[in-house]
Amino acid sequence: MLLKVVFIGPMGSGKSTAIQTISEIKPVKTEARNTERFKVDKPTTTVGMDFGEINLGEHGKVALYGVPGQRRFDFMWPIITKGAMGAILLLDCSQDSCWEDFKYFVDAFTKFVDPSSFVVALNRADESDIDHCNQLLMDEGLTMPVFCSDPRSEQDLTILLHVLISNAELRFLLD
Amino acid sequence: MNTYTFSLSGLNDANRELVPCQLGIIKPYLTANWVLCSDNEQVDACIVNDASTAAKSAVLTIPLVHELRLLDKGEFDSPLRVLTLLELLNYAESCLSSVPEDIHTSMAEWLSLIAMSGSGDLYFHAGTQTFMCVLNKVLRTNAADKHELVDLIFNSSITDWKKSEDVSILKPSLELPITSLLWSLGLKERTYATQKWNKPDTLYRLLSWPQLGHWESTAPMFRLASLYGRKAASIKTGVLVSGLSEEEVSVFLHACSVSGLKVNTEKEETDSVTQPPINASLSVLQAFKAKLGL
Repeated sequence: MLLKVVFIGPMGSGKSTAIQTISEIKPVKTEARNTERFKVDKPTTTVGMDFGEINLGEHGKVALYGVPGQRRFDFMWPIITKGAMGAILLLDCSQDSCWEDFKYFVDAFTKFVDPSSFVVALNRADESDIDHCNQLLMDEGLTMPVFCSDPRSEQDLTILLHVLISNAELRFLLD
Repeated sequence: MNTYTFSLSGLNDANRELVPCQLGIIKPYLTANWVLCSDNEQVDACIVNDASTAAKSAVLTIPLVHELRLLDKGEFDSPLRVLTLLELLNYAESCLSSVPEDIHTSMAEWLSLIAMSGSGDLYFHAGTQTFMCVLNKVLRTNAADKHELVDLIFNSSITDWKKSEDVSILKPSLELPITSLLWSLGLKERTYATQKWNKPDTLYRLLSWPQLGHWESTAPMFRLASLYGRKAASIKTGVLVSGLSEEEVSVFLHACSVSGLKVNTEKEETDSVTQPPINASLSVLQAFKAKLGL
């Protein structure tokens, strides 16, 4: 049995770091030179996808996929997200385009993943960012869990995964 | 039809002048007879705009901002609209008809109003000299720790806390995020929560999630947040999916509400979500939880 969790978000939001933090295998990365350093100043960025795994023994595995964050790779997003039990949307609140990206990614990915299977993880954020994010969601008529989350923190990521599991469990209990 | 009395506290003069006229207009549509009394009279309900002026003689205190949010009326619009007053009084009637007389108010609701007012007023507990001051979503106190303060507030009444003008005594030893403290306080108010939230014919919908994992929480609360975040559901459905008691589900909703999360009441249990099946079974999800140590 293979469960799939997808990490989505713009370039530099911490998707690769998050997968590296919780994966039990050495993550498979597709890093290439970053040609958009004017947006996020890092030397390399994901151009294919990131992949990690959590082993559940006899019950199978949890596959962790990270999508490429640059919009020109959007053709890959529906392919990677297909069959996912949930998506974790990561955002770096210190980036100027954070809320613009948030709207863009929510709009783009709710076509492939049901809104009730989303978790929003805000990096470098405080309570006011959570309030703002919740307000944006309410404006769109959406309800999603929103948390402050450091992609380097296993504890923070465990909370996000716990939310996804609870959402998935609920589907069995209600359907 | 029952007759109840109510008074106004903390409302401006414009509101005070309008309410008697509004009461006359809505009278045929009210579920009870309501008599407007002056400030110092013993009343059944007191509509307050400011936590610090809550009437001590009222059976039920109706904090405007909080209750309007519950009624999905958004923020307090001054002057109070006639239809809002109608809904507010009908809501108060439903509360009064089910609330025992010894249930006065919630300390968490009182504190959340202080936090919302943003006044930064200093309150001290006359018995213990413990003080607290809420400003910019942070509570400053000289209590030793959060649990001590939560216990103290929970075991006190509004009248135990005096507003102080002397801010020079403010030498806080502890700073706490107010939402986390309100959440913990709300979780302790079991009797109040049950009376207020456990209504068999009401459906609840959570419009934003509590900070579970960061705030005091248990695994069943995650399922409750998932449920009420996804659809309007009854307390009974909450019991079904979480395995908790009706009281515990009510407490969860109460804690959500007092910590500033919007909890709507709705009429129909419609599930707007149509999800594709996921490639998993409950046993796999349980194995995943076990792997994460949950």
